[in-house]
Amino acid sequence: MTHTLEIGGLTKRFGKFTALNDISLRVAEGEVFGYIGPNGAGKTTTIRVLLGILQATGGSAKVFGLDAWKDAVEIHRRIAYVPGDVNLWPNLTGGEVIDLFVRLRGRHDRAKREMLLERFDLDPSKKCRTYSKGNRQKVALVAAFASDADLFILDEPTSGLDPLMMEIFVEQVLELKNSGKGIFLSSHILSEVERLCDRVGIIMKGRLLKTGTLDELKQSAAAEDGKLPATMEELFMRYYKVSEAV
Amino acid sequence: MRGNFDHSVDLIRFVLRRERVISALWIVLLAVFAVSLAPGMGDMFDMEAREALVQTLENPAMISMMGPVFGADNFDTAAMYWVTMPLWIIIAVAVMNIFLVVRHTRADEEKGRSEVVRSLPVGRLANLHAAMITAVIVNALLGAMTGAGIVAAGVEGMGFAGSALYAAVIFASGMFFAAAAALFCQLSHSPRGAAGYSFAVLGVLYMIRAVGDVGNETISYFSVLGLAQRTQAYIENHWWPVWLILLQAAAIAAVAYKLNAVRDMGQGFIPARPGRKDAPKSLGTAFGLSWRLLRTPMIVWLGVMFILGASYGSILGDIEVFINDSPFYQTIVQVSPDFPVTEMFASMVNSMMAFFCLIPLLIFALKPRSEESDGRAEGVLSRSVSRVKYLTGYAVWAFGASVLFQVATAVGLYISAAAVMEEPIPLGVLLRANLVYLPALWVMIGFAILLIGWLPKAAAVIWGYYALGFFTSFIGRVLDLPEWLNAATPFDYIPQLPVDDVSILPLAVLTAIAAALTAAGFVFYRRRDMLTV
Repeated sequence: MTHTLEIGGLTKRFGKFTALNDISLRVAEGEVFGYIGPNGAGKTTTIRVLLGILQATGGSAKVFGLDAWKDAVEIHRRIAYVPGDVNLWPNLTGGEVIDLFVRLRGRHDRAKREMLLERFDLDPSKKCRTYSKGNRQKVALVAAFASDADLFILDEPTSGLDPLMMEIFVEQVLELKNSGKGIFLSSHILSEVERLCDRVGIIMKGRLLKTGTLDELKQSAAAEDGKLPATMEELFMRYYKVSEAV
Repeated sequence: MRGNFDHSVDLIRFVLRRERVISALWIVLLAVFAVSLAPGMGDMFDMEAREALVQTLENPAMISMMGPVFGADNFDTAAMYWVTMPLWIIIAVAVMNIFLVVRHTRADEEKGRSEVVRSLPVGRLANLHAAMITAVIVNALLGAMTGAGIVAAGVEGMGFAGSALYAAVIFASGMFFAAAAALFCQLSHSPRGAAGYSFAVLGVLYMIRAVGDVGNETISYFSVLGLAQRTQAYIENHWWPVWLILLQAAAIAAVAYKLNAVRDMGQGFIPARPGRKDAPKSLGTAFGLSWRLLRTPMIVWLGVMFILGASYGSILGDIEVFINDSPFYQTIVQVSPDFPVTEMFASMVNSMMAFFCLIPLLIFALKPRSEESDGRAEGVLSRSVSRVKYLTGYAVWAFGASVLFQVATAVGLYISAAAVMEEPIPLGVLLRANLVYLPALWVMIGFAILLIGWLPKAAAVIWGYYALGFFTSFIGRVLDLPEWLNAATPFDYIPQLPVDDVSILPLAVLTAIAAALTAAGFVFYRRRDMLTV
């Protein structure tokens, strides 16, 4: 099986602060990988290293077998990224930003763009300064889904979306998954992770505590303290307490 | 609606706290500037030079720029000050007030900060009221400091009565523009719009007074700037224009309050037009994006450079008489008997204009840095855009604009000079004297790019270097600064045409330095982490 994304022993320090400590994980083609952890755990830092926006202090981060820092531009031709906090140019319209983002990657699929605008119910003629958080998020989502990428890096992509829009988001992700794309989904919304993700990694305080399928994680928790977590929330809380205790 | 002003006092304290650095800086710098020029003015011009100065000031082109010449029959230090200085101080005060009010009302609203405040038991008008009261405090402090400073300086003819009026003029004009900004904060749908409309009003009022001062004086009474000048502080001490300005300010503020009380948060009364549904062809590359973001300021600045060049050109006809009679200007302009005075004056204008056009050029060059700290560069760089390509998008426009702006100045200068001079300076001469500054501009741009790559958090240092260059080039000449300080800025190596010969070597070296700085900036920029601050 080929891996679209491969991180080995990744460490990132900002001065004395260690944001990421020896992270290793892989995402295969056609796989949805859920990356969960509390605020400030290092999820976004990991993604920023994958995007070549930050340079790793140690270890390796590879996308499509290429180095995330050195070959950033080459890699970006084939990935789509949705940030959790979308910052847009206040005086451009949503439609203009979507076109810009899609063109900056390469191929342009008009029909898909129109379809997505309709599905996400977004008015592209409004200036970005007038958009709510949810609507800014939709701009980033439409731009990402309209592009013909092989790996989708989504950083809390549904923050600010209403339940109906979240449903449409899930639908789009499943469609991508079925067509063999890799998806790296960082999220707080555990129900979303539960529904979408094949495998999950739990990061706390810059360390990757566990990776595996949801069942594997639950079983391993049960093996450690004799109690099977019934839900994703319980599992999350359990690791949260373990990392707090350290 | 009851309780419109609830908790205003708490908000005033909050706004003042947020203003403790910015407004304090504005107040101190403006007051120091306004006061420090008063004592020296008398010494700069002896009696003969004053006559020449009056003649120059009474030229219609100068009147349209500076306003009418009051107290010409006894042109003492006080009169000289009042005719040349207050207009610029008031314009600066206007800018300060517009930014102050927009920052604390509309800008907070767009950022979503006012929403949190409004969700508290705070009156609907409390925020606007707090901003306006802060403006009252800031303007009163600025007026008082300026007035007291001038009294303390003990300049002949500039005593308490005139200084009190000067302080009142500063206060009243400041409040007028604070009120105008408050009104446009209600009308417009964005902080940019509000500031833009307010500056447009400032420009229109300046034009109204220019037209009135040259032609029919009655027209000038319709401009706050014209009214402010007609107090003739230190000369006649008329108080009535102050009351008129305050009355206008109060009326405009009342309308602003009224509108604010009925306006929906985040909305304006001037409706927003729907924009394009999709991007034009040009907006599809990193280069296209940077052009789109810089396009409007680029065009506006191009116009400004042309107009400034033209307004300097319009006084070239009279300049000969004036400079020959003023030892002060002879020092500044570095007069040499072998060359026409007009050409030497044009050369000084060129060096001033070079500094002026550096402001937008450095803003353009620093744009990728603000895009980065606002989190928008990430959106582009996470697409298949290399760092080099991204930074090039801005560097190209900064370097390109340097040539465009310089040419616009020279052409403006040429066109209006040709209209007023019997033997106009050829365009070629003007262009040469002006394009010769390009290498110095490039070094400054290169330095900005180096800072973006190497010390992104300290990129604003470039403005300190800019200030040093300005200081050594103008004020330094009068003060006899040590040679090494002059030599520390690129401007010292630019030949002053027509006196100096153009030698290629220093210009080539400067260009090479600019290229090296730029290249180093790119190398550092490729290597570093993108920052979110």
